[in-house]
Amino acid sequence: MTQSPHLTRRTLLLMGGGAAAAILTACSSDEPPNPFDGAEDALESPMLAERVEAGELPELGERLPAEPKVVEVHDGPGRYGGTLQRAQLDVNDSGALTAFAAVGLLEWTWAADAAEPSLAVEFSKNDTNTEFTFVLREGLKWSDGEPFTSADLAFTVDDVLRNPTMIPAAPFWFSDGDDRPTVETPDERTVIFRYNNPFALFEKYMCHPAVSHQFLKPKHYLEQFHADHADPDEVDAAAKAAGFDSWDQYFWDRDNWWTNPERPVLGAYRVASPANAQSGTASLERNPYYWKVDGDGRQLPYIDNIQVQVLAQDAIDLRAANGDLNFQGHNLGYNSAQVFLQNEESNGYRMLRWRNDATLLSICPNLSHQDEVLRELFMEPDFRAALSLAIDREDMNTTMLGGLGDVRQPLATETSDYYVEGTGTRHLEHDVDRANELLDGLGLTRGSDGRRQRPDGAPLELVLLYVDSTAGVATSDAFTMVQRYWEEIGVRISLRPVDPTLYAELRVANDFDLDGTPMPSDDFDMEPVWYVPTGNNSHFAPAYGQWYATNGAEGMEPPEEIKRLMDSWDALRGAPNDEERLAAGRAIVTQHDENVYAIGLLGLPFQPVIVTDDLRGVRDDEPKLSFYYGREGITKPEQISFTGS
Amino acid sequence: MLRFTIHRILHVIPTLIAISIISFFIIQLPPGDFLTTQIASLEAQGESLDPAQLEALRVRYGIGEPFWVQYWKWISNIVLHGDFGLSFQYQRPVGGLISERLGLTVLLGLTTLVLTWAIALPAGVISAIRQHSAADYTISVLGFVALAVPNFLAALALAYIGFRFFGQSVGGLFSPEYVNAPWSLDRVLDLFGHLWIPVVVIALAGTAGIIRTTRANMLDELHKPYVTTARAKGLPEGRIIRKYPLRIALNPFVSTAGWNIPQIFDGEVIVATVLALGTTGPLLLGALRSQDMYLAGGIILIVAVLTVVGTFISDLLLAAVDPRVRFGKA
Amino acid sequence: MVQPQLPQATPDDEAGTTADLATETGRSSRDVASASQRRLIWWRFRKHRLAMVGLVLLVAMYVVAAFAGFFAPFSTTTYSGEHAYHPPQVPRFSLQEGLFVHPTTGHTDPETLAPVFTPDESEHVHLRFFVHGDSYRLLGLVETDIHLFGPSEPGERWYPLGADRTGADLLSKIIYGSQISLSIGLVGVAISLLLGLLLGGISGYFGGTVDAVLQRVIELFMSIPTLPLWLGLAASVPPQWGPVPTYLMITVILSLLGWTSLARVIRGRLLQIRDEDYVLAATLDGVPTTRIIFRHMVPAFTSHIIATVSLAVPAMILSETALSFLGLGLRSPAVSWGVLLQDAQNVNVIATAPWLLLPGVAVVLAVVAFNFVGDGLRDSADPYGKRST
Repeated sequence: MTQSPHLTRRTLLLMGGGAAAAILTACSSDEPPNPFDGAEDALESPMLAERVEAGELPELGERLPAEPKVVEVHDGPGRYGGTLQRAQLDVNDSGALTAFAAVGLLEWTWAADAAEPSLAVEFSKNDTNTEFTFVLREGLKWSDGEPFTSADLAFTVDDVLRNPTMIPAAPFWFSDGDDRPTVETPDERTVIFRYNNPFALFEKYMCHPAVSHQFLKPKHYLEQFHADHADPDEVDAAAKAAGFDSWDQYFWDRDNWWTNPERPVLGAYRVASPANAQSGTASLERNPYYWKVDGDGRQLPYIDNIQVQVLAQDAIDLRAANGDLNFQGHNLGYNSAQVFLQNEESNGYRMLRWRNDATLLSICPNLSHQDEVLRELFMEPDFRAALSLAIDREDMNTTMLGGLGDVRQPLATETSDYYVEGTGTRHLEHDVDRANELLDGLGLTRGSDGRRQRPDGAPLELVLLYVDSTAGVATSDAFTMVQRYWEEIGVRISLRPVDPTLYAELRVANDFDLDGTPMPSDDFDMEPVWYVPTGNNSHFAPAYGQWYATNGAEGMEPPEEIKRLMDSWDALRGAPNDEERLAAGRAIVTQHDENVYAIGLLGLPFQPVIVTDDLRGVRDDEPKLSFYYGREGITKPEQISFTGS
Repeated sequence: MLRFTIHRILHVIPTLIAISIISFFIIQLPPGDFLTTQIASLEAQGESLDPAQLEALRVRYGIGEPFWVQYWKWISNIVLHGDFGLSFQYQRPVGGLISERLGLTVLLGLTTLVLTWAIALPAGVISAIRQHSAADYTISVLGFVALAVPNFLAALALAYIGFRFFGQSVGGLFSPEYVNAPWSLDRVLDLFGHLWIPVVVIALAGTAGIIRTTRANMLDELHKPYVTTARAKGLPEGRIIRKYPLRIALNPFVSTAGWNIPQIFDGEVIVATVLALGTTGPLLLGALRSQDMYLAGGIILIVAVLTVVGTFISDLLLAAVDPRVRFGKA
Repeated sequence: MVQPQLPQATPDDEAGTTADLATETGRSSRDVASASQRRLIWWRFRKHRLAMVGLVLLVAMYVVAAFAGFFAPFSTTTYSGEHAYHPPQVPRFSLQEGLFVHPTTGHTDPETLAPVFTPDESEHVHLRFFVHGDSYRLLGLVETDIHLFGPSEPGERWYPLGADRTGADLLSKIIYGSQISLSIGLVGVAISLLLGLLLGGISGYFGGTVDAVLQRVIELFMSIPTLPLWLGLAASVPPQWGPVPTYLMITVILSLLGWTSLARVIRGRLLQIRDEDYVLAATLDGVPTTRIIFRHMVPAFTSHIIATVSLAVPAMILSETALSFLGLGLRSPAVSWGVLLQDAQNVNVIATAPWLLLPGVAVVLAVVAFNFVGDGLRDSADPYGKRST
């Protein structure tokens, strides 16, 4: 690694020339003990071998399951050891675990387009997508050495996920729309989930690293905190003693794999010390009972430790540019990409250009607006078309992204299963005349000042609600330009940058005209709300979403057009097979394409990912850095390793 | 003196009560609550939370309750049990969160204070005894420039310099290899290697005020007849200054030390946020932003109480030194 | 220690000051003895070199701010996308062309992501005085398009201090930004002053219980960390308000927090003056209270108030930038120094476009100038008093 020379220089600077002796000691102790002294053919990390020798751990054979999962190593067999440095913005973000210690009954394939066995060695489902059967590997163990069995899954589902005290309303990844599933465990290794309605997305959610781990709770550890399993009074007393109001809060605290080092895990790493301490740094340590091996039967992961430091954006970017972060994509600023490139050679790393989640900055008119006149206007396809045509995307692209940006409408792209040939390009051209024609055709006459009037004669003035951010495409810059373009067609908008909290509140309250937001497009089935109003957090029709979520009890009844969108979503989720699921998803894409419900502006050309030169095993085929695939986890981090020195 | 002390204590109590109410009120001013903030930040990362789940959580946290109910719950737990409540954001007791950061905050604050005074006092004295000289002007200009540079900019610029020219790993108070290491000489050196940026930025900004005050106080003293007398007696100039005017000019600083307490906590917030230091400043800012009300309220309350107590001690000191204060003259 | 410059000894305080003043201001003792207080302050102020520099600077800045449209070569809304992050262009001079720069075309290198600008040596953008350009309203009244200095043809681009990330001229933005940044301090201080005068005056004049209560209130305000106050109050500004009311509201917030120290100063001065012999004399003469306050006491501390105020303005300017940094102040598309600095607050700017930090220089200049002036005023405020305080 590249740290010792830097340290020396800094130390020198700090001490002045005077304290040579101190510097010498500082230097020599800076040298990390060579972690790579394990031979290439060692079957486990020297760090674990030591503990086995000391009698603290059972032999490797006893720790591995009968049939470990074999991982194909991307770049030759690796060597054991080393500490991987990372950083993140938010102390509560457990993304480091979902990326580097992801775990699930199933997992994504290398290509991230299908599920492959993971903790479950076998998986099957019935013809109607209502019954899912998993058979676990034999001899799996938690990181504390206790066996992992179907009882853990039964505990998770029956006592946590189905428990109305703990989870009052079923999350969308668990419910088939009406109900939560039941679980049956005929033996120690078999688990059967049963839904009433078909749930076509269940398999995908079981691969989704942020979801899949939520099905895996260590019963032997957590039952002492659960009022149905332990003495309720004791549980309550313990919760109070720890400063919590009720036992379930304490349960969640104990269950948090990011903040509670005592909680046993199944992933490649466990948290040795959480980021809450004043240092703001989490230390992750390898799980001695990890159940994956490389082609030669050597236990993974190769890297012993991961350190995650919580920093501000600028500090993260500077650290990355300094080569201090070994492997980082998440929380890295696109704006600093130029600086990363400048320092690549001198600081010993390379910047890869991964794809982003096809995220596109867009403007969504509120189709369920409280004001009837505006609602009808926004529902008019010609109006949205005119707004889209009036935008000079080429100018925006040149100004904001040096002409490198992604220009299209926010729809599933070619990399998505739901992509429909020829979609995503409607009304992208800059055609002010056509836009004016369309608006004239809608009877929106211009007043004396050149501004258009609403059908009821009031001036047409819209407010664009957004969160000011420069993390991706700078929102204020982009919307200021849109404001100028729309001025030319007589549509006046005022910008209203708000803080994220207020933004969420106003949207949920259906209190906005236009919503400016980055929209992920490829994997919308994992989070439908972007394209189908499934809840009041919808970006383009919260009141319809409320209507949908409450089965018509609250909110606003949508017009037939939107109901069709919702029906497509129901068909997608409840599809008995993949063909029907894809057909339903494509129907959603087609309907969005034809109607341009959301007006796309600009997307980042790529997502910078920093990899230091001493790291190998990181894929170089520009995969997606996406939440749904565990971000950096898409490169199966258990198989990356340090080249050693 | 006893009567004065009791009198002042009686003054402090209503102040403390008012402060606790104001603290709690301020953190509730912004629209929304912790949960909406959470949703927003999840969304920013491309995740979403179910609206239905939200309502239930809101009830669990007691977020919808009226102000006075929430306030009473909060303050009674603090006073009766020393329990500052649970941080929504961290899901941990607030007391622990604050105490683990208090040490570094005080270290940073004190280092800064010491450096500020170490620079400002001599500079002020020189300014005074060489009034209207080039040195006087230079000190004035430098002091004001240091005051005028927005400190978030200074922090980032110094961090960049640290990176560009010294290959320093920026942010935090420790290099990665020392973060979780036990204390050792190397770790202390590493700490100081990181501490200099925030200390320099905050300390320099604070010098201007003290330079001006010291200068003015010194000038006052230098014109007093006793200085003339001493000079007439043929005492060496350096001795005259060190022996008398300097001491008197420094008096107010010593007796008002307690008033510097909020400065220790306030001065670092922006700089510590830019540099991601593990002090209470960024914790408070984060808590306020995410509307983690018990955490924010706890920090504000502690700082405010420390200030009131500090002022109280300063007043007692002043009263002990200067009898006039006791009789309500000053 | 080097022998320090000796302050002039003053054997007799009363006569001494007049003599001092005479030597100091270079005028005869008779002039000094008969001059009005305002004149004395001015004489003395003029001797304060840094203060004079500051004053000149300030006047210049406020003039530029008032006629921003005239002094700025462009408006804040014109931009040229291909020129984003254009470095500063120094005008060149030749006998045939006069002052000129070469026009450039820009594109982003897809490999390094660096913006590349190629000057067209055969073309010239001529820079002239009093040119036609973007139209603006002079002092908000007169519609015109005359600019002091800039490209001779409207539509041509020139970046004297470089371009920002959207390809707008930074100099123009700094000039327009000064309108908000320089006035926020004045408005804010005016409000602080009003509050401070009122409450400090009440406290100082009446004393007793009123004083005790007000002192506790001030203590209360001063013991709450300012950051949460800012955050809480700024976040509670109704979001549907436009930029101007929001800006005013933020100013009010800043001043609501700033009045306490002013009130303390005023109270202290009042307490001091209340015990002066001439006030006692006036009271014994049966002069009405209001007349004592306005005729005898207020003039005695006006100069001090002015000095204190001029020191409070720069603090407000800095607060504005800090609020913007915290994301609570004004936000773009509004233009203020704080907003410009917030835009510059990232690694990329420092590494590749350092000229975007220039608004920081404007802030430093303004703050330093105010401090010099304030310092000078404080030094000269009390012409008959000691020459130091």
